[in-house]
Amino acid sequence: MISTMDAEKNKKKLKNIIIKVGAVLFWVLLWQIFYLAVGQEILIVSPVATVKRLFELSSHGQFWVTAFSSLVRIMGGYVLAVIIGFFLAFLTSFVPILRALFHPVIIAARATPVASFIILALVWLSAGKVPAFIASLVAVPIVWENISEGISRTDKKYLQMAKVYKIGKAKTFTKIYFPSVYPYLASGAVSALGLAWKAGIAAEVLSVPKNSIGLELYRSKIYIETLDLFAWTLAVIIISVALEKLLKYLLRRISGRYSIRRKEN
Amino acid sequence: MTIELKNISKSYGEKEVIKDFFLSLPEKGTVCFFGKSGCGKTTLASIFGGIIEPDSGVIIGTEKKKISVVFQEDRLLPWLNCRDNINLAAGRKDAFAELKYYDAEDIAKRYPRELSGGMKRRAALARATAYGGDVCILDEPFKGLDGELAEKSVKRISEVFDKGLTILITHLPEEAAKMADKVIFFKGIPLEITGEIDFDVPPKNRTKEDIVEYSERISEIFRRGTV
Repeated sequence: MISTMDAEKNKKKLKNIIIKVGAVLFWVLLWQIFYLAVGQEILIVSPVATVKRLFELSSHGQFWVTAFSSLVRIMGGYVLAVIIGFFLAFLTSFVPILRALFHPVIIAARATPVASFIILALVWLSAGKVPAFIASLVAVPIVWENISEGISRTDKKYLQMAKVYKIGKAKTFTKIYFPSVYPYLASGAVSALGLAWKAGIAAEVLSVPKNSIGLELYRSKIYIETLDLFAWTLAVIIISVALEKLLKYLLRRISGRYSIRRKEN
Repeated sequence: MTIELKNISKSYGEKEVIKDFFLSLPEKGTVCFFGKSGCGKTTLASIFGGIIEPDSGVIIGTEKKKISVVFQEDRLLPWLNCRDNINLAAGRKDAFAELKYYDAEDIAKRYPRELSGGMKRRAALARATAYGGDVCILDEPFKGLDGELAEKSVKRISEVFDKGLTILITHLPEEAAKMADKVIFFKGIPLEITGEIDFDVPPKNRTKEDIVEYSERISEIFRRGTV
């Protein structure tokens, strides 16, 4: 019985993989058709040439230095944003005056074009700090919003129980608020990750710090190296997907350790 | 010394559940709040236990008392196993030993989602008795427990809160007849007292016949709507 169920599960898994790979192949094929239709390498390069160029670039040590520097720079800003968003959400949820104070700022930050912030940040900060700052700026409102929702949805009945049994503020936070908010923190952190990474790269294009993917993208624009532009963009996409997978894995590990059920359950 | 609830009012939106309510309770013994569900007796007990704030009114005599509650829903945290749920409330008490009073030591390491309603109830009861205190509020405490387990639970609760006040909220005459020294009848809303009776035989010394008799008296008074 169990082995039949396992076989069924594996079959379903395989089907999912085939669908996923099929979808990617479809778009790559469409890309190839476009490439053939346009027929000008300055406008669009082929998928095969892009992958080949990416392999070529990655055979140089400098590629890894560049990718790693961008990663550290932007992820530094992102991690900071998750921490700030987390504490800000608790502060604004429990201190009404702070909620009133921060609410318009967060709404404005979300509505302001990233480009405006990048240009402003270029005036205020050194080139190396701009991408981290922008990644933070993009991620904080998302994390804040998700966690604030999690806090507001924390079951009042558990909080009443904590009050009756005089559990204390620290334990109420670690044993009730944190597990309740965790699924919201996780979903906020995942949504913010992709956006922070993209915005960070955009900030690098405009601030052109040394050893950055943004600088490489900027160079390919200046020298009209369309192939390099495609290859670096592919690298950005691969890193983004890998980061998201890694984050989801880590979040699952943590939720398992605390026996926290995920939001979708 | 008595515990006094004075001028208590509580509304939920337009609904006035409790209005200018007065009640005097002894410091010792078991008092049963008897009435239909939805009449406001749980709200009153929640105000008394400091779980919810009244819109107006004061409670005198509970300031220094340690209050333990068995909620109508078990309110066990789903991400903690039973032992951790008990220890979160009761500190370093031996959760395993406490569960043993309820024949439930084997659920110590299990999570609420793995348990039946009756098992969760026992964990919630064990949390309340492990915490102890001067006052215990029991809201429909034996829901989902069979006769023998309910007996054991009553025994443990009586042991722990022997020197204090226990408030039993129920709509089952037999439960009240087994445990209560005094039964207060409620109707609502808004909440009002329709009558009260005191029993001569203390719960510990009651025979089966006493329980049947008291149970019938409670049913009769409840049916008539007044003493």
